[in-house]
Amino acid sequence: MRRMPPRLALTLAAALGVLVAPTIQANALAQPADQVENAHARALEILARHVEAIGGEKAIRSHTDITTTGRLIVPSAGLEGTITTHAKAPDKILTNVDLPGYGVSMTGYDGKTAWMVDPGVGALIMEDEQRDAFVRSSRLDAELRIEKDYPTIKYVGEDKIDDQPVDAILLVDKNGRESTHYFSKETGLRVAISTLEPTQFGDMPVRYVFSDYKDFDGLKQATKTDQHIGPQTITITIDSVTFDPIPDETLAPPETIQVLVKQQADGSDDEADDNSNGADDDDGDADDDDGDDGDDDDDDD
Amino acid sequence: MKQTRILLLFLASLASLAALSPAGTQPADPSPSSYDLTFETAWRLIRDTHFDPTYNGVDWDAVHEEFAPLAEHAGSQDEIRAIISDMLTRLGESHFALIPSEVADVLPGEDAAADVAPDEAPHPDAVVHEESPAKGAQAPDPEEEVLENESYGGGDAWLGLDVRPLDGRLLITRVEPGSPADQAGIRPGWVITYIGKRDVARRIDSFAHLDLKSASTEIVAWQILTELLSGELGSLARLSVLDADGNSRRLTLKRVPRPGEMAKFGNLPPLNSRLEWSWLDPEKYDIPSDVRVGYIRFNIFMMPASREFERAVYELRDADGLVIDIRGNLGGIGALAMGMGGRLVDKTASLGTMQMRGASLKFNLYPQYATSWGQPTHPFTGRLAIITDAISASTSEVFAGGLQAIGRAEVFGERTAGMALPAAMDRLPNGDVLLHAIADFHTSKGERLEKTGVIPDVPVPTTREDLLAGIDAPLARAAHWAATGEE
Repeated sequence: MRRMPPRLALTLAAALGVLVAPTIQANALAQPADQVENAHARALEILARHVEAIGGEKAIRSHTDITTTGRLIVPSAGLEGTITTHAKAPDKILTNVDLPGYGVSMTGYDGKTAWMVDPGVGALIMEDEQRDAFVRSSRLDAELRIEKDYPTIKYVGEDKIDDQPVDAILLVDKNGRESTHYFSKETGLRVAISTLEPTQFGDMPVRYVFSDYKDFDGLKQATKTDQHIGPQTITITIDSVTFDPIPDETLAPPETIQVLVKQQADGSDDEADDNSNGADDDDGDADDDDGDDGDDDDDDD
Repeated sequence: MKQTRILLLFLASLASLAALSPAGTQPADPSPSSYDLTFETAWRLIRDTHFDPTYNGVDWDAVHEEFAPLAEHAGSQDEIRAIISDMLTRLGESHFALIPSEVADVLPGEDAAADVAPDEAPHPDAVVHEESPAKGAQAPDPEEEVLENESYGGGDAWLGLDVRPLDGRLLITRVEPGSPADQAGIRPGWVITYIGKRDVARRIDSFAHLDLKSASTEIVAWQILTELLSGELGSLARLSVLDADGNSRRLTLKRVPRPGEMAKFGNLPPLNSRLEWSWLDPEKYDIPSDVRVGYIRFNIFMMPASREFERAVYELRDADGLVIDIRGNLGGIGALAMGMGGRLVDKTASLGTMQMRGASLKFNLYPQYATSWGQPTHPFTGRLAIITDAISASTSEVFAGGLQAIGRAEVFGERTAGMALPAAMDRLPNGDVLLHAIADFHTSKGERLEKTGVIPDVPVPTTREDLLAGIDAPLARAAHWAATGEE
């Protein structure tokens, strides 16, 4: 098997721009045809070892409701907020990020609709690749479904992450989207992912670095994740993980998204005439054309 | 893998604010041992995150060699700040600035003028004194004694007037109804000749001779003079103004709460956020009786303005035309330009691209068909006019230039500041905050806004003559177009 030259990814990144590495790396390390099977088998071994390292299939399947709380820090903006994720098997999820001065940003998937509500950007329903990627990562058994979710899985070589020897595996999803996952040779745990992520802002090169794995009721989880995007880093730390049952209501999309879903179902974006929950007139000198004086409370705050 | 979804919004949220006003501050915690590290950290941050690997043609290593020895010998906060600020000017670009810790760390509510409702009652004792008018511009009596509680700068309370430097003078462009300035009879078009005993024309002239590579002299002059007009709540300001008839008046006014809401975001200092909206008066703006035109004006892209913008567009959504006035708007949180823009388009579009080193982020607009309070709605799809001036900067330019580039908005007024680089705000070891550009911005047409600014489709200058005649010419032209489609 052709091994990845050490530090190749970083060299290429320096030469061609940070974190375009995944695609470049895959091309550079393309396996000869007669080695593909071995590369695939080796990758599966590493993935299986990772599953065992985080607690094993039984532990993964036995936890069907997981609530995680923590902090989100953006050092380059001086921002620190809280993050809460409710996840319920098989794939429902709701994440709240509350940042002072910005408000609560939410993303979720209720088994049907993947959505986002953000105080700044507004509300949107995810589609296409963005939806696929979101739903895939929402599954509590995502670690057990990799062979189903990724038609191409292959071992691409050894590397180092923060001087830690790692095995690199290339995953290609059904849309042809590549991601490279790095697993510690020592522990078997995933320590990084590099990918070109489909987002509402276009494709973004992202590198996730996972550390400080801790055991929560038999499941190991990284309690620190650094997300590197260009020159920026976002750090998420986990303070607590609980496994109490999560009511479906908790995972329901906010009213704003329900309106959009209904509009999609109706095939129309016609607004209702009912202004009973509309906005206040607060300008002081506007001609009030409708006289409504509804509730001020925003659903997403 | 549950926590791994990237949170790009917070990158887009990075401040894109043209300039800050750190004047009049004192070191919070001078610690000379940290100065060397502070300098090195600032230099490295720019080395590692500047969007242009050539640093705008500047030899960044040579800059280090030049300034590092100076930093080693810095003996005070003022000295290290001056050294770093000098270093930043070498880049010749906007959005490189040092925000003193004393400015960055003020929390909302600490300011006496925070969170004041816009409909604050009139202030009956706001006009403290007015001397008899004298013909022509008059300097204050050199013997005039400083009043108890007379001060200039250092607070967010105001006198109720908007100003801008124009043709070497400080022109009053707007007077807040019921404010001290209004009660004193001050009107748009009047000229402020002295603030206290400071000769305003001389100051503006001195700014004009500065070699400012990273900011427009007009914005710097505007910020400093606006700061002088502001002060602590209840403090006094003496102004000499030249009225419409050429008479000089010496007034003593008491500062009152500035309408709006103080907003704090990350390492940015607290900023006053205010948004007003209305239906434009058809008679005043020559709007046909069967046509309705809405008007929204806001001073900064911060969350309070974003929330109110949503409400305003919701109320005005069925207007035939809409005028958005961002004159004097220095920018703010970049992501909010997307959210606001999403209420003005009926198809997914893009304001442009934020290009960082190694990554780019599209400022996409997603049409909004529901309100944040769960009400079905639709984006505003009528004629959209945006008014800009030379103080409109940063996120304002992204917003106006982006909507102009996709053909959604017609821009009226004056060319914007050309200070449009998305920036990060990292904390330095000495506690100060380094505002540093980490991205460039190009509209969907590939136009770079830094330096160039947004060029109006319909240039309409602000003139003293128009203001004295009670005419807001850019607004009048924009309103006419929004109502009729005719320029």
